[in-house]
Formats: sequence, structure tokens, C-alpha cells
Amino acid sequence: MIPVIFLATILPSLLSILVFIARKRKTQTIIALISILASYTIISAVYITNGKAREFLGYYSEKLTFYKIPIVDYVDGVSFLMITATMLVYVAIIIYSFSEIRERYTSYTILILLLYTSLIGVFVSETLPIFYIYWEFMLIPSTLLILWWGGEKRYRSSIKFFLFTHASSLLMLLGIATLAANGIVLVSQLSECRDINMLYIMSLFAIALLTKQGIFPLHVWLPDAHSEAPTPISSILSGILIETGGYAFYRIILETGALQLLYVTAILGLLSALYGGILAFKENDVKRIAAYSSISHAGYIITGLSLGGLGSFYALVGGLFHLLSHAVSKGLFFLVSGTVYHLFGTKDIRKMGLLMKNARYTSFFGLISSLSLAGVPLLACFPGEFMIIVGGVQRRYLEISLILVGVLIISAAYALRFWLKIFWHPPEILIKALPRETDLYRIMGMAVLAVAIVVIGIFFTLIIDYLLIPFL
Amino acid sequence: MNEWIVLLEIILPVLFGVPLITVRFRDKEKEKMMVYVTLLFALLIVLNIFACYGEQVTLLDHPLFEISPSVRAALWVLLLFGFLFIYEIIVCDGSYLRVASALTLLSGSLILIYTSIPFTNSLLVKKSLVHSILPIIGLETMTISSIGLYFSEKRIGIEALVKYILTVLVSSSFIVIGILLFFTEYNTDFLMPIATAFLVTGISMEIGLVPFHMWLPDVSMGVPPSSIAYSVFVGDSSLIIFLAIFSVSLYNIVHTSFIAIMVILALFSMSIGEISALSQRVLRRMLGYSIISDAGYIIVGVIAESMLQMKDPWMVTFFVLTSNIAISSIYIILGSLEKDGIPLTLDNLKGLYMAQPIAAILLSIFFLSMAGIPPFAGFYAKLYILSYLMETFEYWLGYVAAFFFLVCVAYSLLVIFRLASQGEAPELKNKDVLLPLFFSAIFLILLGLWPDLFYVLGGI
Repeated sequence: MIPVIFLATILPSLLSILVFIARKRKTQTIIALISILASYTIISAVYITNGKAREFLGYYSEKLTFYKIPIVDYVDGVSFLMITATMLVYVAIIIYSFSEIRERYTSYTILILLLYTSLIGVFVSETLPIFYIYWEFMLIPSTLLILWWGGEKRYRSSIKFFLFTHASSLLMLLGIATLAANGIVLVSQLSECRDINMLYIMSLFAIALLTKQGIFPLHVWLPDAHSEAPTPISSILSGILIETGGYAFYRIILETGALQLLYVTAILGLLSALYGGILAFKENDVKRIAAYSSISHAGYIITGLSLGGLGSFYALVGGLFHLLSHAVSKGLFFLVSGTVYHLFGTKDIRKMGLLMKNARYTSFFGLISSLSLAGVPLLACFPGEFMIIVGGVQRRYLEISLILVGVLIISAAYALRFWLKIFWHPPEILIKALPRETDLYRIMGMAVLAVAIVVIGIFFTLIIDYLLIPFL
Repeated sequence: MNEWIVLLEIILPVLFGVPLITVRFRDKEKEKMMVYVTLLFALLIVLNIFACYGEQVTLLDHPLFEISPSVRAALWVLLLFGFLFIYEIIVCDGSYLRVASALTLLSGSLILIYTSIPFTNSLLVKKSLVHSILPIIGLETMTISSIGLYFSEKRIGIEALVKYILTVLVSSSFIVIGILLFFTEYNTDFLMPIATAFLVTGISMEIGLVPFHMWLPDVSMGVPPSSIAYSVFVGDSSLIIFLAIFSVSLYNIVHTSFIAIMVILALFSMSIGEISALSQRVLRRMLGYSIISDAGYIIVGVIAESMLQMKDPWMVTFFVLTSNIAISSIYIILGSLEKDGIPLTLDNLKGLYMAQPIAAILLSIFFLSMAGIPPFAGFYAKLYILSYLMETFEYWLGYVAAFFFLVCVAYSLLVIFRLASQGEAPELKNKDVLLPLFFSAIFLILLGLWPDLFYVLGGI
């Protein structure tokens, strides 16, 4: 049997050799797009034909004395949801990067394709050590992308990014080693094991996952890394990379049913939702607004998933759905922030304004992403947030739902402040001239995600019915 | 195991090496020397195939040479990469004396590796003096040839050499006393643990465990990088494999308090090694401290393996070989970038990615492997050691090791980030040095993606 899922995972990395050979920027972009779409097509074919597909690739390590490590890949609705989100953000950012990235385009494209492989690998790996390999390998291309194409403080922020996430991941490695020593190497074996202290091991996992997700108080690396990265990479970091934390939280921690831990993570999620929202409202740097907003929404997701683990079905579905909707909304939000930064030449929101007059497309996309983050119905983020709040009420955690409603209001406040200040109101500090509309590729990149936001917002029931409900 | 062939395999490097001492070096003869060494290694590999897979012939009543699967795998890696690192000595240094010493060192380490299992058996069961004395011969051969390798005209080099010789003298005497105590018939229960302690301490001194580590950073600074790369890879690795094999068998007779002391020394070794490496600006010294911290991990690993009664030290072998390949390769690249033998500092590496992309990428791969980032072999070594520690229920040791792994990541990152930043990069003196390093990089990636390759080499 051909290992189809594995091939789809490594296909973009393999095709990156073609990117290296091709000299023209346009050809390289097309190759990158084709490789991503081909990989997605293969995985969707597997999903559509099989529903839940599992494939055994052989052994990573067969000869170890204590345990064998079988390599198992799988695709089910939830991983397919995440892969869809990744594909959407990637298509947008590849088109966007064509204008945005001017230097060393070949290395850039190769690195983002390597990053794609590691992201998809995280979503399809059932074997814990292999999951860890993809999880850690993710760090190498993303750190290099920040380091080579980032802003002024890139050196510091990329070191911070790497060290924080790697340090937390080492705790996860300890957890994986403990599990492996007890004969558990697959995610599906987690629920079977009862004779070891799961709470303790899952705490190790939780630290790693919450750090990746940027949950308060483990978020320290996030604002720097996300704001210093080049715009398309910020989109990936905020849209997909931190969602891997939420996805793994669902896969690993909810699988074991470590209930006491879920109370803690729910509270941390709430705190970071509040914290991120308030800081995003006070911030004047456009990219940092988006970064703090990520912390806030990550908190939302973790709260939802924790409530889901505590028994609320609605919250679980909402949390998972919000992974997708947040990915596309935040992806677009970062692209819009990057575009206005490019147009005005500054990140300070006080020196921006009235852009609506000259840049109608950008302002329209800005409006869609802001409204989506604010939780307006018919746009992507609404169903997920709504279901998380309903889930809180369902399990009689009224106070949690109340705080989440408050966070929703704060989100609306900072998202609208963002849009109004940049596109509607005149600038607070006088500027020389109003910039013109941005170029076609940037607009096309943003358009992909804007369409995705509207489609997801309208047809959310389809996604929930066909991707989530059968697998929960 | 055909012992005649093994004997030939052991003697052959010395036979090829000794004539080189008398020859004076001329620059044009590099190719000749290359052919000479290639011939030797081709012979060694053929002999190794016959020795491992041919018919069984023993010289004495009890086997004189014996290897386990893990040691067989190590032997293949040692022979293949030993050849690559000798190639580096010829390209970078070209000194006949150093090549001769390197070949002699290989002989010594072959003796040590082949006799490790019979040695352990002779101490515990049969009390045979011949079997016990052979490893000492191997050790002394290694010492003498190391002196040849470490010889340097610079002041710091001579100082380092003196420190090394003193340490080795003390350690040799410890080992000899340890072995002799095994042969005493007086109060065995009391003396056996002491004898083991002497033996383990003696070997620990030679692999640079704290507090016997003083010589290592100095040697690393004063000796030409190609020589130190070779001696780390061949000498250090074979010593550690020897230590791993006899420690597992002697674990039950040694006193618990001695194990506690060894754990404490290992912890000191990890902490002093990694934290000193983090604070270094000069890269060679950083690597020296990294070797010291590796000694700490290895002692912890050996103890874990002994607690679990693993007769075959796969984990330690895997760890030491992958880590030493990375460290040795880094030494080679640094050596080829140095101007007039002045060690490079961290800031000298700035802009290397732009100026020498291949060297910079190779350097990054080796540092990432050393730091244990997937998908390089260092990651698997790390997973291996942590899972053994977890299996022995020494959770706290696992945490401490994980913390120091993080420190290792920190200084590796410092180097990798320097490569990517702007600056005036040093020139690569000789592009030929990069060729063997490709093989080591590919080997590290292959082992990381498919660790079972190592077991396949061991014939399992």
C-alpha cells in the first residue's frame, strides 16, 4: 500500500527542490502553489473516500529494548479541518509574498514549504515521538524566517521565540519519554492507560502546548515574534502555528481526561482572553494589536476546549471550529496590518487614517477581518465564539460565559478601533500624504482569505456536520 | 569471530603508521599519503567483514576478542568516519607524525573495543591475566599516540599537553590498581567494590569528567582542530564504549555510595560543562566544555543502563557516536576557517551564511544535531537517554538532563544566529575539507530519520 498521507505531507518539501532549480520568481511561486494544492488534494481525496483514514508506515525504531515506535499517520475530520485552514492561509500568503518579499525569494519559498510539511505532519501524526519531531522541526524554518526577513528587533525576538517554545517542548519530550517508557507511543493508546500518573504527564504536555498557543502567562515570546516577523510569516505564526497548540490540546490532553488540569487551563484561557483583549485595545502598534488579539483568541479556544473536556459538547465543537475561523480571520488581519504598515511606512496607528479614500479594497478586507474578529454573525468567528459561550451556559459555568461575553465586547472594541483609526478617522498626528492602494498580488492574497471568512461564516453548519460531529 | 584476523586488523594500523614517523613531509605527497591511508582502510574494512562474519577461530582457551552487536555497529561507524577524519588530518595538517599517531590511536582503540567483553569476563569469572592486561596495552597505545596528536609548538599547546599527560598518568595508575585489586584473594567482598571504583574513576578521568576535566578545554585550544577532531571521535568514543561495557557487568558489585558519587560528578559535569560552554566566546573552548558535559550525560546513561541490566550498551554507544561526529565535524570546519591558527570567536562567524553558504549550512546542521533538534540524530539520542532515565524512575535526573539540554540549545543557537547576521566572514582555506563533512551530515540526518540504521549496522 502506498503511504498516501505521508506522501502528501512531504510533497511540498520534495517539490521545494524544483523551487531551487527554477530561477524566475513567478515560476517559483507557481510551483509553491501547486505543491500546496496538490498536497491538499491528496489529503482531501483520502478524507472523502475513507472518512477516518489510518496508515501504518513501518517502525521509527523497532530494535529498542523497551518499546517499538510504529509510525502511524491518520486523517479525520478535525485534522482535515486544520489542514484546510493551513491550505487557505498558505495560498493567501504565497500570493501575498510575491510582492512583499524582495530579497532571497528562493530560500524564503523553500523555508515556507518546509514549514508546511512540518505543520501538516503535526496534524496527521498519531505517533507521539513523530509528532514531536514535526513539532520541533517547525521551529527551524519559522525561526529562520523571522531571523532573515524580520523587522529591526528580529534577532532578539527570534531567539526568544525559539528558546521559549523549545524549552517548553523539552518538558513535552520528558512526558513523551515517560509515556514511551510505559509502552504508550500512540495518541490512541492514551485513553487506555490507567496505571501511571496521567495528570502529572499531561501537565508537562500542557505547559508545552499552552506556550505554543501563547496563553497567559506563557505568552511572553508571542507579541515580539509575531510583530517582528515579515507580514506573511506573522500570518502563518498567528493563524496556524499557534493553532497547533490548540489542536494538540484536543488530541492529547482531552483524550486522557485529566479533569483537574482542565479547570486550570480553562481559567488560564479566560485570563489570557481578557489580558490579550485589554492590551490589544491599549496598543498603538498595528502588528502588536494583531499579536495581542491572537493571545486573546487563543485564550478563547483553550477555554472552549477545556469546557469541552469538562463535558460541554457545544464548547468542544465551538473551540475546534474557532481553530479554523481564527486561522483565516487572523491571517487576514495580519495581512491587512502588514499592508497598512507597508503603505504608511510606520507601525504607529496614530500616524494613520483616512485610508478608505484611496485604498478601497484594503479597507474592505480590513473591515471583514475586524468584524469577523469582533464576532459579527455571518462571518467566520461568530459560530465558534457563540458555541463556546453557549457551552459555558450548558455546563452551568455562567460566570465563564459572562466573562467570555465581556471579552467579545473588548474584541469588538479593539477590532473596530483598529479599522476606524486606520481607514475612517483622520490621523492623530499629521502626515504628509495619503498613500495609494496597494498592488494586485497583495490584494489577491487578502481576497482569498476574505472570501474564506465569508464562506465559512455562512456555511458553518456544513463544516460542523461533516467535519466535526462524526468524529467527536 | 576469527581471532587471527582480528589480531591482524589491530596490528595493521600500527604497521602502516610506524614507517610514517621516519618520513619527512613534502607538500606534493598528499596524494600519495591519501592512497596509502585509503589502502589501509580498505584492508581494514575487508578484514572486519571476515572477522565479524567469517568462521570462528580462537587463539586461547577463552576468547581473546569478542564483540556484541552494539559494539559491532560502533566499530563500523568508527572505521568509516575514522577514515574521513584521517582524510581531514591529511588535508588540513599534512604532518606525517600526526597521521602516524592517528593510525596508532586507531590500533589502540581497536584493542580496547575488541577486548572489552573478554576483559569484563576475566575480572569476574575466570581471572585471566592475559585478558586483563590487553585493554591496558590498548589504553597506553592510545595515550602515546594522543601525545603525538596533541603535540604543538605553541605555548598553550605544550601546557595543555603537560596537563593531559599528568591526568593520563594518574588515570592509568588508577586503572592498573583497579585491575590488580581484582586479582587479590584477600577479603574479596571488601576489595571488589573498591577495585571497580578505581577502574571507573580511571576511565572517567580520561573522558573528561569533572573534576578531572581541566586538560580538555586547554587541549581543545592548543591542538590543531583536525587532530582534536580525530582524537575525540576515535579515542573518546572507544573509551566510553569500553566504560559502558564493563560498568554494566560490574554494577551489581559496586557500592551504592560510589554510584551516588558518580551521579553527583555527572551532574557537576553537565552543569559546569554546559554553563561554561554558554559563557564562552571562543568556539573551540565552547566545544571543549561541550565534551565535558557529554561525559556527564554518558555517566548518567551508563548508570541507567546498568540499573536496567542492559548487557549491550546501545544507548550510550548511539549517544556518544552521534554527539562526537557532530563535535568533530564542527572542529574541522572551525579549523578550516581559522587564520594562522588563531581560534575563532563567536563574532568572527558573522556573515558566514552569505560568504560561505555550504560551510554555514553544514555548521548549522552539526550544531542542531548537537542541540538535539529533530530531525537530526542528536534528537533520537536525547529521546533515548531520557526514556532510559524515565524507565529507571529517576525522574529528577531526567529533568536535570533536560534542563542542561536546553542550555546546549542556547549556545548552539547563539552560533547559528551569528551565522545569519551581517558581518565580515572569515575565508575558507581549503574547500576539500567539506567533502567528508557532507557524509557526516547525511549520516546524522539519516540516523535521525531512521535510527534503526544503527541496529542494522550492528547486524540485528
